[in-house]
Amino acid sequence: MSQLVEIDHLCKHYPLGKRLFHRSDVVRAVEDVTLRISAGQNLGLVGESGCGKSTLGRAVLRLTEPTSGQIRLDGVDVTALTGRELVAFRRHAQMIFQDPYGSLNPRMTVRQTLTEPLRIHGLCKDHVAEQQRIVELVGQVGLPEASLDRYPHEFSGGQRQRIVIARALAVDPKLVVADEPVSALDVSIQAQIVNLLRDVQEKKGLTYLFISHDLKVVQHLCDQVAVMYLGRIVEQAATKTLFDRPLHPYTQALIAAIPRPPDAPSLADVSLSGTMTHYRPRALLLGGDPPSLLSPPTGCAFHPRCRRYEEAGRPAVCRSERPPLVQISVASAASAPSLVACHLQTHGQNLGQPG
Amino acid sequence: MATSPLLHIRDLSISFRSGPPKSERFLRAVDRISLRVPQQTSVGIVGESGSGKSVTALSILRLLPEPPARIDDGQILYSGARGSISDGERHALSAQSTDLLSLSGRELEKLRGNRIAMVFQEPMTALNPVYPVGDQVAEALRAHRQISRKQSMSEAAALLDLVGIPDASRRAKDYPHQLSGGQRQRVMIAMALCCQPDLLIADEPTTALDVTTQAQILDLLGRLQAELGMALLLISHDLGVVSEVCAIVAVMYAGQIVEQAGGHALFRSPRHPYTAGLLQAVPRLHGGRARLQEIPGRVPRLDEMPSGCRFADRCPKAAARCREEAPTLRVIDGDEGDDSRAHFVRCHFPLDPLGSLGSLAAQKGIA
Repeated sequence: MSQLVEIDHLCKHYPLGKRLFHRSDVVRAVEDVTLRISAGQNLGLVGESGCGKSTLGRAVLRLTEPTSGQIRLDGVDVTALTGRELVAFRRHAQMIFQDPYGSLNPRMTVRQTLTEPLRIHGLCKDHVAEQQRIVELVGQVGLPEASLDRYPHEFSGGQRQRIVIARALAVDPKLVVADEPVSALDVSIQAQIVNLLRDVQEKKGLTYLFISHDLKVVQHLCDQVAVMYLGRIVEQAATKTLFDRPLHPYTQALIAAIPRPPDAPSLADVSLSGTMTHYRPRALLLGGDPPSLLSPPTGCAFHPRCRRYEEAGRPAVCRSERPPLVQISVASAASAPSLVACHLQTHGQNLGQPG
Repeated sequence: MATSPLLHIRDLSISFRSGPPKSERFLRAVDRISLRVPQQTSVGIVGESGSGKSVTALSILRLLPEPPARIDDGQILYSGARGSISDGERHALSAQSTDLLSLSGRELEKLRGNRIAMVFQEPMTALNPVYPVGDQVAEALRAHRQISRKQSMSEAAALLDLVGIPDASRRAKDYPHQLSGGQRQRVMIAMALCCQPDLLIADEPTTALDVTTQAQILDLLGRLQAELGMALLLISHDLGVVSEVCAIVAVMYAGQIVEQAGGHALFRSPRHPYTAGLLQAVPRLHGGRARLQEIPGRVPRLDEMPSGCRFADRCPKAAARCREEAPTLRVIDGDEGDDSRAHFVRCHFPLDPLGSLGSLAAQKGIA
């Protein structure tokens, strides 16, 4: 399996409030991320807001400049590209943003929006070919041809997202970074867009880097999942493995947090006080909020919220040493290896009961 | 349980003015909604954007700007305080039940935040950015009760503690921007709980939050509802969220309630094609990667509501009758008087109980 995207030790730091004679604080939005995406294998990037998943996605396309590290797309070092080469590179990698209201120019018709990338990259030799291509594009995303000369405000949210997808497809990219593409949409429309993303992939053979906080959608659409916490990847595995047997306590908490309907009318339906509720206390509820990126906890960044750390009797190593991302299972033909960054997982025996 | 419900919305219709002056017209956003919220019970309203769920919620406390909104018809009956009645509202609630739509502004003030409280979606805009959060909670306390500043501050800290803000007396001095989204929402809930309301209306309280924080807030709402014995009206677009907390769930579509049942029955065995469609449109955990079931098309616009069933154009089971004759909301299961057991549906051809769609959904592991 060829590697489409290879990210090595990528960092993105934002300096805060530069002051003379003071060392300025640094927000380490993305810290030492190493990631591989195989061609045709969608990677889902999940985590709470502020964990750096969007920054990572944008850095891959060089929409933000990485502070250090290397990104290669199809063997080409993206981090070294400048000027014209960078423009040409964007033909191969496109982005779909969350907000279809903000990412379309309100003063351009759909036709103009779709023509622009074709012209920039000189993909059509004449006007006729260009128009043909545009008609083909709107057809692919399920919009009527009549919509070509309309403006974004004339469309609903779901239709706008279709236009954004068509624009990304215009240049026949190899990689599409989709940053929360369905989060702003209604449930019934979400399903339409998720299906569309899938159809497009089957037809075009492209690869998604799919950024979302919605684990259910990620599970549905992605082959691999990487979980980020405070700028670092804490677990990465094939989707099925990750959801069936999450290893990192943070991943376990994320999965447990997904709302799910009650199994059966439980005793809690009518409690002692006569209160009618379906409320059932949850077993794996994650307490607190993610800590500040300005002063991340020492050792494992997750340890202040980690249930297993408490259960294991607060081993000192969790506080003092940052757990490396280690390979847990061997890569097989069917799936990539599982990686996890957790002391309790890697040498749990020595630290007590890993659970 | 034949006691009168705490809140009884009866045939409520709300329109919005649209178009330029002189040639204006009124478009109906909520069409003859009826809903009961029994004492101490959690009730959920689910619907997509534009279904009228938030408009319904806002109308209960008369928070809709009128105009452009106009309440055309209906009653919102509120039946008095459970337990001890505190100072403020005694005269407003002397009668058995009060129609909130007939109250004067002053009488409404007595109810708002006092007997009926509300939590909104965006905690950042709902809090004043230039005052510490503790002061804001204390101010709400003083607005409703004759207590000293000092006492209000200590009660505010106690409330912040109740909603799970760690180190509450110190965090009370923080400004909203110093708190995370989840904590701000907790502050909003603390403010809403000031007067131990009989009813807490939560309009999309977790939409702006992370999954983990959402779980915390839902857990908090569920716990508070059970512990304080208040009723909860939870508005959300997310079936999962509502099903987790609510004993009774109503599904709204295009301004109408299309299905209502006990939370469990609704998710186990949806009878309206729209509810079933919504449940199948969401990918399930461990649900495999089969193509998602889409609901084709979109919600009809307010000015082009079909005269028949409003869902007919998107419905896989629609027949000629559906386009001609608007279905009414009727009981198809259980006793009409007992909301937690009754199953209402607005459909000429409801799905079989745990029928084709239902069992399919069950197989896919909804529950």
